[in-house]
Amino acid sequence: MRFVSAVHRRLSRFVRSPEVAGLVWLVALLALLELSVGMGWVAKWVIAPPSGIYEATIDLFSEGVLTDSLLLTLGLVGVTMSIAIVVGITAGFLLFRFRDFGIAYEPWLGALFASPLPLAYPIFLVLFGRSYTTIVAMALAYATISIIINTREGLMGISPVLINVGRSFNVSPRTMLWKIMFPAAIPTIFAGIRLGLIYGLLAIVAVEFLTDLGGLGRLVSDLNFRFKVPETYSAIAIIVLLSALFFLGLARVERWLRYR
Amino acid sequence: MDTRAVIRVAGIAATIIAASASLVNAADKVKVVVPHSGLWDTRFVGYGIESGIFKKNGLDVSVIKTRGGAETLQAAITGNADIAIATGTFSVIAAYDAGAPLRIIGNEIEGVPDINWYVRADSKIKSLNDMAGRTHAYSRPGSSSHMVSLELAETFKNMTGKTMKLVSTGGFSDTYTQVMTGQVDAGFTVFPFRFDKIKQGVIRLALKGSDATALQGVSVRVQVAHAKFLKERRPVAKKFLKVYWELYNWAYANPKQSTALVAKAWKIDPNTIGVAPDYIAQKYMTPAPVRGIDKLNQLAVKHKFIKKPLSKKQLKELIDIVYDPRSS
Repeated sequence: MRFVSAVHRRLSRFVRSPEVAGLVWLVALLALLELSVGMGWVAKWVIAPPSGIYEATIDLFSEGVLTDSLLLTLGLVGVTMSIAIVVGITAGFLLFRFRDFGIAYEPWLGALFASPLPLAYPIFLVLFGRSYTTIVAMALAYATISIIINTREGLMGISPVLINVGRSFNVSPRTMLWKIMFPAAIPTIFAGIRLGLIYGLLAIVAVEFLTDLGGLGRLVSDLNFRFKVPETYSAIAIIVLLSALFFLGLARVERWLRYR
Repeated sequence: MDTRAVIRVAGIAATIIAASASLVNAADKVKVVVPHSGLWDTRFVGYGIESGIFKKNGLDVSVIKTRGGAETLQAAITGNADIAIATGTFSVIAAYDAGAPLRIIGNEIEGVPDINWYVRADSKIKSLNDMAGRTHAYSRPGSSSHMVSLELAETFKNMTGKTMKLVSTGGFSDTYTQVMTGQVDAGFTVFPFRFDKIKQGVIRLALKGSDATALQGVSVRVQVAHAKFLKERRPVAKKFLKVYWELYNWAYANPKQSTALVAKAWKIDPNTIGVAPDYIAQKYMTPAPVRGIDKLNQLAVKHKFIKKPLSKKQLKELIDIVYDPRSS
């Protein structure tokens, strides 16, 4: 009896949790969309019904179109983020270490981060040619800046107590950096990496869309121009899903790193 | 009748006369989507507005400019425009298949007498045979330049067993920049875009659209209207197309004047490029009929614009010619 009530308690707590509520509303919205299109309240060439999107996704995967585009975009994200993390953290540390440079350049970096950089794609095309280098270069501009800014902020925000404890143990500058400063700054640096990843992904998809160079962005553009409505929504849904997975995945990595 | 009553009656009469006069003078409003505005086959809607010819015929025409392909149709589908001119037939078929309320109301051009591809003067590309692994530009998926590119790529593959890469580059000017900076090997042109540069030897024509033999004798571009507009205001659509084609009759009858008009849009000296009819003969530009729709239907399937061909019933609904000078 006690077991049953415990299970009941847990289940009702689970059902009332915000995550489940969010999921329920999402499912309700999808059902409403399905009904709206099915009943003809919304034209099928404007919004695709979720069932159509599901079928289109299966078709696109079976034709290999979605897999190729997805792998290409993932590859570009991987290359961009690898470079962005190395360059961003190094540059952020240097701006922290050389204070005057930090004060001089951080506002400019912030301004650049807020600018609509994808619009500069024709210049990047001229500079780097019609190749994936252009996509990576444009995405790097976004991904690196947030990492630089957050690394500097993270290092500047370390509690003086931690530094003093290190000094009282007479640790070397290297140990101070790796064992005290970086671990303390990890949450802020990771917030930068997370932002960099999301903005980097957006920039990659946007430039793929604009330049017709391949990947999920190009796929969305091509399907849209061919009036393949469910397929277009399917490709967009994959991008949203990818973005959400990256976001959640990084949150897990951050938690794991913080407790190590 | 006292003075007050006389003034009241006079006021009412004046209002009625003014209202009826405005009704008589009110021109029919038509919103038209024009892709790649300023070319030989897209300049004259603008000219009709500037010269007041549409107005004289009771039409108040406004223009939305696009960069071709589905971009043109999207403006018509969403109801932002009533008519879309010079639109690639594949995208019309694809949009109709997706359920878009569109109707083909006339032919625009038959075959591919006008689209050609140029390369930089120092390029090694001399003809279609040299396109192995090279990049070949088109404006937007579904546009006529895309239709021709798909067919040229297939012809090339059949000829050599090799492939060329098709790239969507947007507008004419964007494409020219990409060709000149080496991002794309072959860019598309229609008279008179950069014909001055051809004469100067900066670029040269290398690929002919007419090599896409599958598209010979079929309506590569058509005129399209929103179904609701057509249902409610069919005479307006007819009047618009009548004036539109009269403008072309004038343009072909006065080649020097009309070429100068088009050249001016691109800041080109008209005396250096010849006259438009030498490049695009009038026989290809006719209001009706829409030719080779069955073939286009099959080609749209082959090039994956639609999964299965439109049925006879669908084609009958899709094509609704509103102006045919042969019968009216």
